[in-house]
Amino acid sequence: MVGATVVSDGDATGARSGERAFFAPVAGGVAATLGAMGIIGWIFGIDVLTSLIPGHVAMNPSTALCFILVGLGLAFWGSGSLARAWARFSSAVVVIIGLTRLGEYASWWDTGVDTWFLGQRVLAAGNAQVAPLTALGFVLVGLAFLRPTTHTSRPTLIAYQLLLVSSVLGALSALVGHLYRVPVMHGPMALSTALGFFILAIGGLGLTPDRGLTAVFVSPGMAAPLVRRVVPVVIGLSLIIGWLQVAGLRRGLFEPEVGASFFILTIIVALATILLTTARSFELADSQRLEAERALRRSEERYRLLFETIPLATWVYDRKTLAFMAVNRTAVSAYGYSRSEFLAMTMKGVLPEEDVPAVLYRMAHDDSGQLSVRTWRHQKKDGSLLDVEVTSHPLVLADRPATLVLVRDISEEKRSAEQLQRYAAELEAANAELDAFCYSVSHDLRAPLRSIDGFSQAILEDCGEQLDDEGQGHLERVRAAAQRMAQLIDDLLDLSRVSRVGMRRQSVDLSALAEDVLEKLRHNDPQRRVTTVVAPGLRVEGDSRLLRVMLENLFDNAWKYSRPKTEACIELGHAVVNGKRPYYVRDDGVGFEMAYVEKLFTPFQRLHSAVNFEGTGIGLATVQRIVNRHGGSIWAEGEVGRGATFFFTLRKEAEGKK
Amino acid sequence: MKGKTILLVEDNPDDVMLTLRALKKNNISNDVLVAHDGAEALDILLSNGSEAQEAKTLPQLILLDLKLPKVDGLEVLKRLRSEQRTRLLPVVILTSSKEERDLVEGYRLGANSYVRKPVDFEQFVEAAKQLGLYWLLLNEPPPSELEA
Repeated sequence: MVGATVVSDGDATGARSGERAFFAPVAGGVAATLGAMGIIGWIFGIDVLTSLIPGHVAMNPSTALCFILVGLGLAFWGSGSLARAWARFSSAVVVIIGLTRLGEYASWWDTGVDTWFLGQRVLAAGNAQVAPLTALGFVLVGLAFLRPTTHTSRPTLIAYQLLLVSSVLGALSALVGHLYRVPVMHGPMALSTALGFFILAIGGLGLTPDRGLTAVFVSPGMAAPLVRRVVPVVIGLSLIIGWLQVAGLRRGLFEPEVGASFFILTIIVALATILLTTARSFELADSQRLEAERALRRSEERYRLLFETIPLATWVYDRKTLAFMAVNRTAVSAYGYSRSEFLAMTMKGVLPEEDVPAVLYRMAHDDSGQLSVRTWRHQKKDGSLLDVEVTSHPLVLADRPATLVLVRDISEEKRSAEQLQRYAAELEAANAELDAFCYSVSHDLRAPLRSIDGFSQAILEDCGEQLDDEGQGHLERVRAAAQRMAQLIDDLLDLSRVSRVGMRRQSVDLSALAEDVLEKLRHNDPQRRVTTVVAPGLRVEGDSRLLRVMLENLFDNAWKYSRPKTEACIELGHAVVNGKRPYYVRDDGVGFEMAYVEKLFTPFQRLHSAVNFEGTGIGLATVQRIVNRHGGSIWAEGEVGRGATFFFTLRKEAEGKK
Repeated sequence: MKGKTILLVEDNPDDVMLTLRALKKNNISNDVLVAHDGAEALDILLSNGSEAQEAKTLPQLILLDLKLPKVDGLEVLKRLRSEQRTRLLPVVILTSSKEERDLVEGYRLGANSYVRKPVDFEQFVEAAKQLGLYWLLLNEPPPSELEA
């Protein structure tokens, strides 16, 4: 029973942090209970309470009282300073009692300390005096409990712990004595006394188990659980084997020498077994650790590889000191610094000097903890500058606030963009020049034409009688030529404007536009009888001005080339042709020969003579240019005498919808 | 207003002749004053001469070409519209420019009308006739400040 108690005590000693606070009250409580049992047993004469095992030495009532005092003190040790003050007071009392008793033995001076509390009655019972060992025990334990609780230095702590350890050893030997029934081991100390000391001492050690001598029982790691298991087992086994030995000897089962040899042998075997199994556990734990380390290293290598092989220069720098903490291969090869050079620099080292203040300013104000993307300039080791796009992101590396940075070289991009800008500017300038040119041309070329026409007419009017028909005819031709030239200039201007003007894409009501253009034609030529059919609700995406010019040209042509018919029909609609969905303008006029369809859209190429149909031959070229600018295409079908149809789309093919 | 004077501001002498001819053909017999450039036009209209001159020289209609030497047509228009005396004078821009911006600017600066000069003389005569009929006969001119 005692052995079992020892083992479980051993386990409880290695209590984890949550239970640490629990153990002291338990120990104190048990000690106090033992004391209470002793007192009650003494008062009422119940042997089992005072001796535990009948026939053994009984606990002295003064001893019992002391146990109650110290036990209570230990039990409430954690409950605050008042409890601790009580504990210290009771410890002090106990120490004084112990010392007095020892002094008594040493000097034969009878202080009658036993009678101090309990009166003469104590002396009436036999064996009532506190044993010297017990007194010593109380001195040791009491002193140990007098210690301060906070921030004891290590030597002081060890000293206190040694006091308690000696109590443990003393109690242990008394316990063994009772267990093996070897009175000389325990002397006048009762079993419950020994037990009480044992528990008190262990309780005291358990107050700060993580420091000093007891640390090995509770430290985190592999050793403590093993220690907690092995120590009690060793103690327990030894006690059992020893008891077997003693019991065997007592019954005369074997000679002392045999007994001793056998004892040694079993001890050796037991210890060796324990050692080997312990070693095995260590080995296992160790190899697990090694395996874990290897796995960690492999994982580390994998991540390192990822970091190194990122095709963008990547690094991490400390946000406070700006020093580089890690740099990848790409950065090393891109910037020309070696890895060690990099790691010795701060990130200012990759910035051109004049940019540093701006960058630092931006960094200080960018503390939003978010990803940020900016363009900067960086400087390589050889001094050359790079335009870069820097993506940075805050993180914590090795417990330091740091920034992860990915750098993209955009020098090429920047150059291209700049070049593009320059081209655009040149284009703008060229267009503006052309614009101005066209403006003057339109004005300056027409004025002389006006004069030619005007004064020819003046001649005809004023001097007409002096001219014969031929002469008048000449002048008429002059006039006609001038007018043609004017028209040509206008048409050319229109054509060029179509190419130059900026496209303003919007939703345009084509039907409404067509009606408007046709209305104008009708208004200018009211004698014609033309039926117009415009499909309603045709909407397109495009530039309304250009689309107007396009329709004007197409309807103009249709109007013109259907003149021979007394009643003509002009249509605008939407069709499905070969999987395409074009619009069309159709007339039923003179048509054209399909053989010459290629020439239709060439500027100045005409398929009808100017005598029959006036025109400069620019109209369709203009229409084609407009259609092309909208991304569409145009084609024509015609039959001589039956009319012509012009199909056009205003968008690229890839949609299904109108 | 004494008589119905027309002020023709035109630098091209051919165009001047043709315009006069066209007006004559339409029996528009008003006095036609000709200014050959913008500065001359402004002088005529805004001259700081005697009251007698003032009373005499405000025309009923101004035919204004745009491309003029010295002071541009639009500039002339701007000046006219900023002066109290000439603010209400009817101005017909008569030009061969087809540029949209001239059209927009002309109206924005306060022209009353914008007519493109056709190359075909007959058309020009027709245009002159219509202009004359409208501006000189049909249209009510604004009161002159002197009479108000």
